[in-house]
Amino acid sequence: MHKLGKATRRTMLGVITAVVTAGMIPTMASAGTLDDIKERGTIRVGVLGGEPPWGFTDAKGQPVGVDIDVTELLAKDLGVKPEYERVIVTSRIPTLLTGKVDLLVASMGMFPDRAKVVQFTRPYVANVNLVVASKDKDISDYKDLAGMRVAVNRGNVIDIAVTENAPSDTQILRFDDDASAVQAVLSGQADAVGLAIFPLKMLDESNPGHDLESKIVVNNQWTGIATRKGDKEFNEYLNDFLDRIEESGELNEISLRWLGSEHPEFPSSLPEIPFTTDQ
Amino acid sequence: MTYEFDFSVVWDNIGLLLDGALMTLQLSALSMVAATIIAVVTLQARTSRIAPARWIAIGYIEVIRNTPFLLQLYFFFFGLPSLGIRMSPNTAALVALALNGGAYAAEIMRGGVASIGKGQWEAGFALGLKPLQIFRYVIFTPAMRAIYPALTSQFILLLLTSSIASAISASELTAVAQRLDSVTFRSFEIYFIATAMYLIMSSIFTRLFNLLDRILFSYPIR
Amino acid sequence: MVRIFGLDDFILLLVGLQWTVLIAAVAFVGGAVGGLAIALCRVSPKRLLRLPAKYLIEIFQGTPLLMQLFLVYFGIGILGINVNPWVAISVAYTCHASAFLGEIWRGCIQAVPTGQSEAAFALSLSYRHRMRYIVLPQALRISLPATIGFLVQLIKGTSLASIVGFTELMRSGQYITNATYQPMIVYGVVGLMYFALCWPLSFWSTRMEHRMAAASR
Repeated sequence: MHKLGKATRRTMLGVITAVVTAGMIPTMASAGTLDDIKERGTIRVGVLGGEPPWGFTDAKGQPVGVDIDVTELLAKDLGVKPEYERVIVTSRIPTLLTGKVDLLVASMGMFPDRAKVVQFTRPYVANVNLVVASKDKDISDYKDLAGMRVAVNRGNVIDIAVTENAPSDTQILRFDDDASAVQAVLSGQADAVGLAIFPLKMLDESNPGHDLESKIVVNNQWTGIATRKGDKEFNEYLNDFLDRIEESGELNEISLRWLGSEHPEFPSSLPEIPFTTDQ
Repeated sequence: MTYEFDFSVVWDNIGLLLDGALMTLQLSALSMVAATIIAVVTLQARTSRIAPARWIAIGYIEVIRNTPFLLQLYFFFFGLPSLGIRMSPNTAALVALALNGGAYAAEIMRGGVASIGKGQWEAGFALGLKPLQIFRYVIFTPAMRAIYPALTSQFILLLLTSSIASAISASELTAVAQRLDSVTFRSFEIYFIATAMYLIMSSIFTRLFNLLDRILFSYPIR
Repeated sequence: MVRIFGLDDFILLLVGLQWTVLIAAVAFVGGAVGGLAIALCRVSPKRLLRLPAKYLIEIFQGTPLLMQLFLVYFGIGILGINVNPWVAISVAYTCHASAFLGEIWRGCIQAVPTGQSEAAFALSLSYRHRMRYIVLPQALRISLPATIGFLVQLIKGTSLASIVGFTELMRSGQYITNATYQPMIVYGVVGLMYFALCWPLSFWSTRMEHRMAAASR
């Protein structure tokens, strides 16, 4: 330490002081988001901007997709205007937790570790996550990924599953979105890519010559709306809203429009992932 | 709004972050050396009598200096494979950093050489120095002394720029931080510590460069 | 759902370019105000002003822009200030620009020959008047090439706003890539747009620098 200059020591001291002070900022109280929304007249929604068919951008620059259609119904139900905030997979939870948006309708897979930091609603859509590779690759299980380079969208479910299950000599390449990960495998920079089933279908259209096929089914994923924890009123309202659009058939219309099939039967509960809250 | 700070995830994963920092150090140190070599070659081409060599050098410098590094990275990693050139993420990051730094360093060196007037040669000659001595004491050292501050701050910038290499899945500090962020959701805490690590690394480099400056370029010339 | 890169996409990129220009412009103007304040603190005879400015510059010049963005962007929210992302991004880039312009201008103020300041002192001009009428106008002239050079860095740096999810030129390019799967065409066009924006500025900056160098010889 004494070998470092005076300024470095001061800088370090500053850093430490800042860490300590930051730790002492008291927890800020959670307010009723629903009241805020009605008062403001707008609902601020975090949606994905580049992950078709969930949330992406059309040629006019407008957000479109499953999540956006659900949000439009929600805004209509509340009688407010939606205000879209594009997020990416890694930035969506921080964006919610730091209060930049009221909720996330951002293709959020419902998993226990995420349920610890955000409040999920009941699911509104289902997805199948895959590991995809070219036909000549002999892969049927995670262990076959030994020595291979697997491209994933940083921090998404497939990343987590592959990281946990693949042999230690598997090289996991993490990118900021699906397109970069797919690009890595198409350009031969990776041997396999983690992709959901619908983007894979899109790839069939856009790159008809590709020879990628599904190799490993990572999981069937339920997708829910996410809010900050401790807001019972908002959570109850959202669950009720989703029940109503399921019953009215509007949710099915959305599913048919984007995914080409009716939505599946939704579970009434998932282990370790509460749809409701007491607080 | 609720936000409670929790730095424990950082301390639990400090080993991973330090590994990332080590990778960042390697990446930047190697790219600094490579950038210097590229810059010298480019400077030769830039001041060459052969016109096409000059054009290539100018084209290279201008394209690099006027497009974002992120875009250059994408090009090296995703674009070059279509020409049959395939590099691992870390290699692609190194090549992109070296070529980026090389373009800037070439321009800085050109300024340094230009600052040495013809009179210097003549003065050295008049003092009865041998050509090699003239080059060493009257040309090279003063030119290096003139460009050293700009060159080294460009090198520090290279260290900081390496954080962008996470976009092509290189395994340096920012990539480690982003990965931890994506599984612990403690963004602010993780980025805060990662930032502090960058600050420490850049101060170390700064001090190292200052020390070298004192050893190599102090008056009187030994 | 999949589309081919066409005119609409080109227009979408132009919209993204607008945001790129807007962030850079706001950060440059905000940074000019902040940078002048920092530069003046940095050359102030008062230690209490000089030191904080020095450390501020050291921190911003010693950490990656990407990290600064992350910290300011999410930090503002944590402090309980609710602003939309566009404001948060602007604040982050303004802080960055203030520190860098502050350091560039500090150098330029100190490059004004001390004789100038001494002569003004001998004419019993106050510190404020010395700065305002004698030193700063000359420093401004010296600083132009480096300042424009930094503007180019700033424009290129706005591409990192894409990583926190802000839709500027780079992010627009990523969106279109995700919908078309044609990265080379899309990023090629994006690159040309950045070049068209930055190159004239770089050229201007270099030409000014050469003129000044020639004049001072």
